[in-house]
Amino acid sequence: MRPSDISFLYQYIVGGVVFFAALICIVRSGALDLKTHPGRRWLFISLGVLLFYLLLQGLLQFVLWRL
Amino acid sequence: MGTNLDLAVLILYFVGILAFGTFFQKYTKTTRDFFLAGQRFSWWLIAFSCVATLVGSYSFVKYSTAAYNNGISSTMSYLNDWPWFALLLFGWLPILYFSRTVSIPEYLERRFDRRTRIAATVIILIYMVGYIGINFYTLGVALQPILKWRLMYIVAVIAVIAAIYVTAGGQTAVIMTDLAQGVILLLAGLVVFFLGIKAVGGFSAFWSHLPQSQKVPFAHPVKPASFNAVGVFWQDGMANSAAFWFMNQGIILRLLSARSVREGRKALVAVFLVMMPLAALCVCGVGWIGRALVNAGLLSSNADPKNIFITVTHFLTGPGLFGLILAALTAALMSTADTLINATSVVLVNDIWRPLVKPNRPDRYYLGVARLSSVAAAIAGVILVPVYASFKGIYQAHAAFTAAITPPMVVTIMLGAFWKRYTARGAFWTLTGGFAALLLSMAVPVIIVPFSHGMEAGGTHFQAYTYMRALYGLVLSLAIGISVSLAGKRRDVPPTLLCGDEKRKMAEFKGAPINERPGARLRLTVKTSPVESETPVAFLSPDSLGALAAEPGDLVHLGDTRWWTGGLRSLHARAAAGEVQPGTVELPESLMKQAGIVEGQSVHVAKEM
Repeated sequence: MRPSDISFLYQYIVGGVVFFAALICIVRSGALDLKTHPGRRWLFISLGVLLFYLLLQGLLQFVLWRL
Repeated sequence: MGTNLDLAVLILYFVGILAFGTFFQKYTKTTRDFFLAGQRFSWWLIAFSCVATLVGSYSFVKYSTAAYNNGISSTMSYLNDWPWFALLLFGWLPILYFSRTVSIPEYLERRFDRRTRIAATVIILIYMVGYIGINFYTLGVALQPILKWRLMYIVAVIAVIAAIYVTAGGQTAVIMTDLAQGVILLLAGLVVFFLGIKAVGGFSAFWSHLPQSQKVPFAHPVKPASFNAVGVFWQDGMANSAAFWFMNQGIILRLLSARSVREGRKALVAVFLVMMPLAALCVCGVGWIGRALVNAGLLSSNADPKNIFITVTHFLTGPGLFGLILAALTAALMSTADTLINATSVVLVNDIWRPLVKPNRPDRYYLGVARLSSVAAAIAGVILVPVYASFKGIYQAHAAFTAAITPPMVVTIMLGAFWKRYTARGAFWTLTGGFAALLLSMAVPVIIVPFSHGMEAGGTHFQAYTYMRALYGLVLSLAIGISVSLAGKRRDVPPTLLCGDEKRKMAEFKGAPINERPGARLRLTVKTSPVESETPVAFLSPDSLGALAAEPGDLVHLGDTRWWTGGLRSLHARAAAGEVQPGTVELPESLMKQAGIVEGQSVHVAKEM
């Protein structure tokens, strides 16, 4: 494992904990109502943003550097 | 470096940008009207205007240097904001929008008390003066190869010009010119990047000329002390990104100018998914090109990393284009410094001088104080320049500054917005105790060691543990805030100031229960109402009210049917039943003037709540 792979994992594990802890707080507080269609759509969008960065940086970290 | 043509372009650019600013100054009435009371802009306009704040004018010089030295991992700072996305969209944005809060000190006073507001104001003032200093320093570094003067001479001249310009320029004009310049700088970054790709021999050649270690998006976790992934994550991803999105006045004003919370969220999605990665490419690309050019033998390996943006731009662009890019960079840096100086004097006068030092004086007196404080802010910024210059690069200098200032503010805002049990005493001690702990860490850096992840100190005092001071500050501020709050008594907090049920916030914003019945969006013709009203009101026929599914008193939005106006010609009003012809909406003349809507114009009308 390269040192930068550890950095990748560190960011997504610690950052992921912050992201999901925040999301849980928001849902519990009622700010994001998952019983409604817009609430579920915004949850999907939030997870999409996380996935976008994971894929973008994952692609650079594990695939493109070989080219 | 540079030709007469470049000089001519530089002068023309300045004249053009001043004319552009003047146009918007005439077009709008007041900053408050334009950015807050209106709350009318479309998501795409907000997203574009965020570019100006996102791509701070110093970013090109700062990130080009980092990109030249560290490769693709220089994008870490732009790609590590996502942990805050959900909190920002569903927690912070509705609080700001529905509570009509326009600044962080104001929020803290409403959520806690006066002394918390004062403590926060002092920290924010230090934060802004530090930003003035980094702008002066960056501009000095950028202009040094062209002017060939000593850095401090350039900075002194810039400070004098900026201080004079502040008294002449208006906030709205400055923000609109910032927007134009942000877009121009983004385009300039892309143009130089693609010119560089062409000069190196195509994308494959560019990629092959980057060292293998520079092709990954993350640096080594803890080495070197001057740039590493764990340090950047805590300093930038956690402390500075939270400060940027939750307490940066520029971002707050832009989000509050959205037509609705939904439009603000759409803007933020666009910013996170499109603008941030694009901005990363634009601000770092020139540095990568510089490294590839050096490795390809096309550029001298003696190039100074601090000046790599200017060196590469000069190498790749012909006379004229170089002048244009230089002018855009200089003008953007100047206007950012102006904005900060202006904002500092406003905060100093409104939050400290007027309420605490000399209350109840005539306006002329406060204007004089504002002018003097502008000069003082400029001088304080200049004084900080030698401190920044002592760092290896602008990136490290800026990181050291933000890591030392932002943690107590970030913790106070987060706990304030998301933890009901957080008390006024807890908030005050988070700010003062957290800041004192950070000052202590500069005198005794060894106390950061438990948080350093084994990183080397990399310097002494302020320069020691540049990045990890942020984690130390966050942990200590959190500990102080939580322990003091738990030791104190519970206190009721208005729900609008806490993360929570959005419908309740909307009802308080409206001042009545919200109307959630789905209704149509209508295209109506505007007519002048014979009735004048002090509050914004739109008179609609019973048919229109029925189609909108609106009741009298509901909030409606009226906007120009041309989408590209971005909400500039639009307004919010309360629906009222009136004897109005079907297919028309009647508005008081004053409201039409305020919104820039004219008699006979077609508008889209939709119920909001």
